[in-house]
Amino acid sequence: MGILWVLVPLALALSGIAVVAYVWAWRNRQFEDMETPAYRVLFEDGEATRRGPRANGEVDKAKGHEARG
Amino acid sequence: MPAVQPITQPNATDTGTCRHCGERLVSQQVDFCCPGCALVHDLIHQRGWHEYYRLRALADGKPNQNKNNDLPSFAYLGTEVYYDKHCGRRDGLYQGTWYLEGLHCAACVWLVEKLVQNCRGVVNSELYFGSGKLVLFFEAGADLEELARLIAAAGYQVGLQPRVGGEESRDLLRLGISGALAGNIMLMSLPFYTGLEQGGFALLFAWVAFTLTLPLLFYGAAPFFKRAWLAVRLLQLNLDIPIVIGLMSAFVLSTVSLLQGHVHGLYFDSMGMLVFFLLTGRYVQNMGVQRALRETQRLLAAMPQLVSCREGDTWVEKPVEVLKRGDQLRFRAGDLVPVDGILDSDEGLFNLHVVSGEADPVTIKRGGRVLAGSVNLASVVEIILESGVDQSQFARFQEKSQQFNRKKQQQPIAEAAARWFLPAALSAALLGFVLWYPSSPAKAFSVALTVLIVVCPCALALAEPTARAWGLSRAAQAGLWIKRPEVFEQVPRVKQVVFDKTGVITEGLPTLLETHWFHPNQHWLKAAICELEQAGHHPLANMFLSAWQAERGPVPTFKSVTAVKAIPGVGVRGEIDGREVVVCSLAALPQFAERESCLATASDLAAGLAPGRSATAAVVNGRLAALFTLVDALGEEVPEAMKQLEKRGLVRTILSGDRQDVVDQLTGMLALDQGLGERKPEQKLAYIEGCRNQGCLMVGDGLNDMGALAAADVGVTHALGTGAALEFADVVLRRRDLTGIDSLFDLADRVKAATRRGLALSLGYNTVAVALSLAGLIGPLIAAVLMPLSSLSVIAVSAWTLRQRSR
Amino acid sequence: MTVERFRYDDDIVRKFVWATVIWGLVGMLVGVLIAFQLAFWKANLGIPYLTFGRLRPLHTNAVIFAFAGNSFFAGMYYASQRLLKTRMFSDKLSRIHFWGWQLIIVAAAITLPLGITTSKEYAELEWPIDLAITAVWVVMAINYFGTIFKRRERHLYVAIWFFIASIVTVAVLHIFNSLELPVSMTKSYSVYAGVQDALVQWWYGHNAVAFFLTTPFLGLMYYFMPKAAEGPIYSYRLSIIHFWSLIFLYIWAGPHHLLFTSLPDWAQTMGMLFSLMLIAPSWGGMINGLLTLRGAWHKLREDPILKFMVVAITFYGMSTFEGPMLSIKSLNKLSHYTDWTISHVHGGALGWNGFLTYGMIYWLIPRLYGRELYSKKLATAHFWMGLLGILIYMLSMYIAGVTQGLMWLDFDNEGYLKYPNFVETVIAIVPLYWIRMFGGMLYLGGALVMLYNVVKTISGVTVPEDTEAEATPYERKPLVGSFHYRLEAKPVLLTVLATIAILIGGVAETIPMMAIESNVPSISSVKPYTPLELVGRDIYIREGCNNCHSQMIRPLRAEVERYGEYSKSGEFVYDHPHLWGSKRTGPDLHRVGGKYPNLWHLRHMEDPRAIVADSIMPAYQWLLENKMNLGDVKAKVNAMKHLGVPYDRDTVENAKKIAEAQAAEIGADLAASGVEGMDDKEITALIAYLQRLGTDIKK
Repeated sequence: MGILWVLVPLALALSGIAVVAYVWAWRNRQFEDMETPAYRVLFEDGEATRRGPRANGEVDKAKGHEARG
Repeated sequence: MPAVQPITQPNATDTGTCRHCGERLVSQQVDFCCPGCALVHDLIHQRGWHEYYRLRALADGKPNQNKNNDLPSFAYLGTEVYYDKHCGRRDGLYQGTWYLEGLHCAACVWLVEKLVQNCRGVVNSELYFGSGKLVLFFEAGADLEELARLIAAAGYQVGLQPRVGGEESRDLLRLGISGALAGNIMLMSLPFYTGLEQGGFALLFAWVAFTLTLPLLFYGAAPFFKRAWLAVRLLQLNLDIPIVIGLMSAFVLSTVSLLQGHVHGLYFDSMGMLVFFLLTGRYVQNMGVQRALRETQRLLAAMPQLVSCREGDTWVEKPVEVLKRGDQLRFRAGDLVPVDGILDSDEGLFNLHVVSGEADPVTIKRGGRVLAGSVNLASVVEIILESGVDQSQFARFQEKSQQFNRKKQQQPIAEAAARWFLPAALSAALLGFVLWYPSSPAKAFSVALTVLIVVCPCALALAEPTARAWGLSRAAQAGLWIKRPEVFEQVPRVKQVVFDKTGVITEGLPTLLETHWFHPNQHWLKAAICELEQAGHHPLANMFLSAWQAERGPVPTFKSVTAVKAIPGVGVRGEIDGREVVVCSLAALPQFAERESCLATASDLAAGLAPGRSATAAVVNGRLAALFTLVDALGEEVPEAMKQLEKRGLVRTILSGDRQDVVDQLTGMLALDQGLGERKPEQKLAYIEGCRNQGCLMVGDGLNDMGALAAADVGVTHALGTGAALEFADVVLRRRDLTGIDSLFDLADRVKAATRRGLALSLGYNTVAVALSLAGLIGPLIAAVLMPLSSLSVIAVSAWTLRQRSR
Repeated sequence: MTVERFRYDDDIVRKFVWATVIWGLVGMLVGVLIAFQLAFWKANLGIPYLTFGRLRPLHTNAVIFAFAGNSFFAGMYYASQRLLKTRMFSDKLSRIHFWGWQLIIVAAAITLPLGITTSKEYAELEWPIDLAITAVWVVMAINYFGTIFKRRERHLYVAIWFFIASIVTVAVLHIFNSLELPVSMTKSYSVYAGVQDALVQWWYGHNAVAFFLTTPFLGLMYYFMPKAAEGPIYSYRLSIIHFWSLIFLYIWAGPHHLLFTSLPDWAQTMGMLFSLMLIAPSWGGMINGLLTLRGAWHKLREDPILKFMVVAITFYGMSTFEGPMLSIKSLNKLSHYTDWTISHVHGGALGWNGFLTYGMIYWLIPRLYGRELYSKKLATAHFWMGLLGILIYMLSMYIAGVTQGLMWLDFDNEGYLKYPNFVETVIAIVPLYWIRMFGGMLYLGGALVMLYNVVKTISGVTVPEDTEAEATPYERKPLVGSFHYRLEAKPVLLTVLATIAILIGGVAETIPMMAIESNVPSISSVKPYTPLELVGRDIYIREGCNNCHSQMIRPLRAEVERYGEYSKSGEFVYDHPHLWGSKRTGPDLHRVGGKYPNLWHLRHMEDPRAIVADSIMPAYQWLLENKMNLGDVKAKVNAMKHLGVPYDRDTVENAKKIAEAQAAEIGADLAASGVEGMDDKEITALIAYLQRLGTDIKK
């Protein structure tokens, strides 16, 4: 049980890191916008050479680009 | 896995739908339903932005549209005044904030961000989906005008932030850190609840808890200390004082106990929970208010207008802010006059609806006074600026209204409980001390502190904020934005509800009721009428447009549209493809149409018109082409809403700037208690001032209601109201649906009930607990356990009360 | 705005995906094999390297660190680059991470069957590999934080939060649990002993579940679920709240693995309370994941990817409900040491981790290779095979657990144990072991179907170039001034940083002191192991006996009746590491010392069925053949002395002699019973250890 003398400060240190991360996030205005990120994750953004699944599985790259834009 | 989404919208011509928005097309020859769609599609297509259509398909989204292609001017964004007044400077860049209306899915976010990225001179940007805020960081000379135009063309309304936004709130930071501290203090205290006895660990846990309590007390609880100190200095009592006393006594007692080496009977965890709960309650409430404010702010966002001002021989577009007394200004038909001035043209036709509430246009002769807020309906007029912008009658009125609003805000929150609670608690503690002192001084001390901890009024302090917070969230669900939560207290005291007429009870705009066609080519005529109405900025333009929007299809291209002239008090005339087309009132019909039979038809129609209705006619080449019956329709749900209010036993009054006979007719029809017509804004304000503090709720939407809304105990407007109304109202209905007012009453009742129950519970708890601690039956430890339990039960009671009877 | 063009590193994602697929098959194959061994003891094959005791850690390591680990990395590399709009910080570090990690897994696959193990659950790997894990983890962390630093997107999407928390916390957990004192390249002793070691072990063990199998996968869920459902996450706000509350709560639930053990009561109750609190944030995550499909439930019918993910999230919800329930002391009394726990973890591993991984792989493969999946039908078949497999597995193990648990606790009317023979409670559940194996095979079969499907999908495909993307750079606008100047303006941050500085200092100071100084033995009769017993104990560890036998008698009437006096914490003060165990496939051994003659043990190890007719234990005939290694016994005793075990100088110096003397004694006893020549065999050392177990307290 003596190990608690290590584990307790350690747990507190981890919480401390979490608090620092929280402060950082707040100062970085990570919490200011709680909606847009949920939408932004859907963007396959600016992936110029988009390769995606294509119907009928042909190995035609150029066509694939066209199909996905 | 879903296959690849179609590249563009359903392939245009063969299916007969618009290539951008997918709406059905009337004609097979065109690809787009409107020029707006064509513009946006081209834009997207040229740049290879097909991701937009993919995202839109995912969201099953309909695009926004700007059907009439009538984009407002964004010239203001290029002026120095914009840079000076609306932009901040940071690291050599300008920072400006716009509000966008109409973002509804991922595709919207994507498109707007793309447009911004491609704008010359814009270095960085942030788009907030929830609030519609777009923050731009740009260099001087950035092409903002073009950017705004493109965004508007894509169907989003662009407006500027009405005021410079408030400071960043530190509440969330404080709440998060306090939460972490409270959680860890709880962690350190749990071993004591789970049976840890004295020993090395016990001391470790206790001291860690103590250390963590320090920042919690001096940082987390700082707002309570501040407000308590403020109250002390003002020699007032508020609920923060007992909170602070409770916190301090718990802290001192625990610390003393710890210093003596005792690890039991420490209240650090209770303090942590108390601070965290209180901060949460207040944060949630604030968030509700912030949301309501943000929504109204977004509604208020608009692009300031530039005014044509004579400079030497040329006309220069200038922002209103830089105008000086004596400047000569020019307004085109359809422009809003933002200042007070003297008419310098022979004659002008103005719509004063927002100024005075009068629905019918007013003709003003040369030398007459044009008030800020008037809309120029007829041809170009020139006006000499009478006074500085800040001294316009409108500005003075606004200032007066603001005074009312400030007064409202200073109204102290009812903290009646606190006024007697604190003395009672202190005397109970003292009593305990005195009673026990003779038998055991140590016990006396402990009893006194137990009393203080037990009564630590977190439950009391939480009762109101939590009830209000729940109320705010229910309100948002019911389509009500409440800007001041104090409204919940004032609404149940309301005895009289005062309505503005135009725009509140009636829709404020004529609606097409019936149409008689005499012209063979309806399609052509409709297009022609729309064209003419728009070109002439006639007040009926929007009515015709919206009535025929769906069926109109592509804009027919007329070869020539010439000699368009709005004739004050009569209508509008012009020549389209060589044909003379006139839209005019029945009274003016004989001027344009000669044939007897038409006149007979028209007079028959006029004779049969029910009160409140009017008629207008279209004439082509001197022949009657169509007759329209118009009505300023009652809001659909108005009779229902009035009945609901009647059931509540409220006095219902109409207070309108419109003609008395119109008001009387409405009053009779809706069986209202009072109908007051022909009231100027000042008179409205005076009337409301008379009822002030007697339970008066004002519902209005116009500039002319501004003062009345500010002065009333509760001011209500709806989202379509004017900016001034939105700014001064306490409650904004999301739609012009007056049944919302009944919901407001209902909600306020429930909030009141929840608060009462919470208070009762908390007082009951306090009474019992104080009695027990005075008797020495409960020690500080049990008191500390009871404290968070009582807060939780108050929160639960609030939630339960508001859930009940909720629809 | 200046638009920058760049390429994502897709190659590294492909690598990790393949590693996931392959190691998944290996891990599950070993799982099926050891399931077979439990149902049919001959499946141990008589080969030392393939016994249950040695393969079980291989199975858990392969599934957790190889399968789930690679899956986490694959998803993390794919999602993070896209969420941060940048290529990884360094391609080289990415590859060092990949190959380093695979090397570690290969090392594990070699050392564990060889019996090179620390015996600490989910941390069995020996110290050189532990060091390698630390190094690779640090490389990954540098690479990851470097990527965050050069990102082009200001907002860190919630998935990134979960990844960061996982990386930081796992590092701390791994380092503190793995503190050990090396004896040789292949042997070390945990610096902690007994209760301390158990507490650290389960603090680690539980958090490995939390921060290796939960938070990273929540990160994956928050990225791939919206992608697959093609709609935004239900509530971003909820995800943030659920993240922070999970972070602040998870770390303390560990003691629920030690209910009714020698751990002090208050610590057990604390573990129970924290476990119960965990329901709230866990279900927050589940609800958020499931409701992402709001309005799109119809997609579930056609889309196997969504099927996998939705079922994965459902299993997450079930496991995070079952877990806290099993943490309640009264229920734990029944479930602990039984197959109910096995059922519970497989719900998490097969359902949550496995299915989320499969959903992700089916989503990734077409995007990584630019070709539509070969067959959606096969993917759907995989889904149903997997789901059926999990259900069969979980139900059979649940029934086995409850059956056996009830049998252990059952008394007849006279107040005697109803099933005094442990083996009776084993025979009762062997049929369920067969069913479980069938469930496992079904699940493995599904994975093979996926392998076929994926191979078919990519055969003949030219691997596409890295995806090109474009984004505008994100300008961080720092406060002006030096770091400390800015810090001075931020009292809160300053305080927090100062606190952390103090804590780190405190930790650094206390660790050596606390770790080495063991508890003052509260029982004076408890003495250190003799050198020979120490050697025997290491054989016990090598063979993984602790995987089937506990050494912790709970203070329950049924246990005391069956095994003897319940275990006291003071009895374990010289146990580096502890060998309490977590599962009783065989009976508890803590009071086995002196219970049977030496010959009984010898015969039992040689052929368990010669003693207990229906035993399912493998035969360990090689213990009777292998010579015991006394070469490093001095080093071992010396190491123990360094860890605070009170050996006197004489014992250390003459360790070998002392050991040989004791061996000769036991050898003589065996010889007297008719078995000659056992003096220098491993069995003698093991017998010495077994006969010592739990006897000190009786003196």
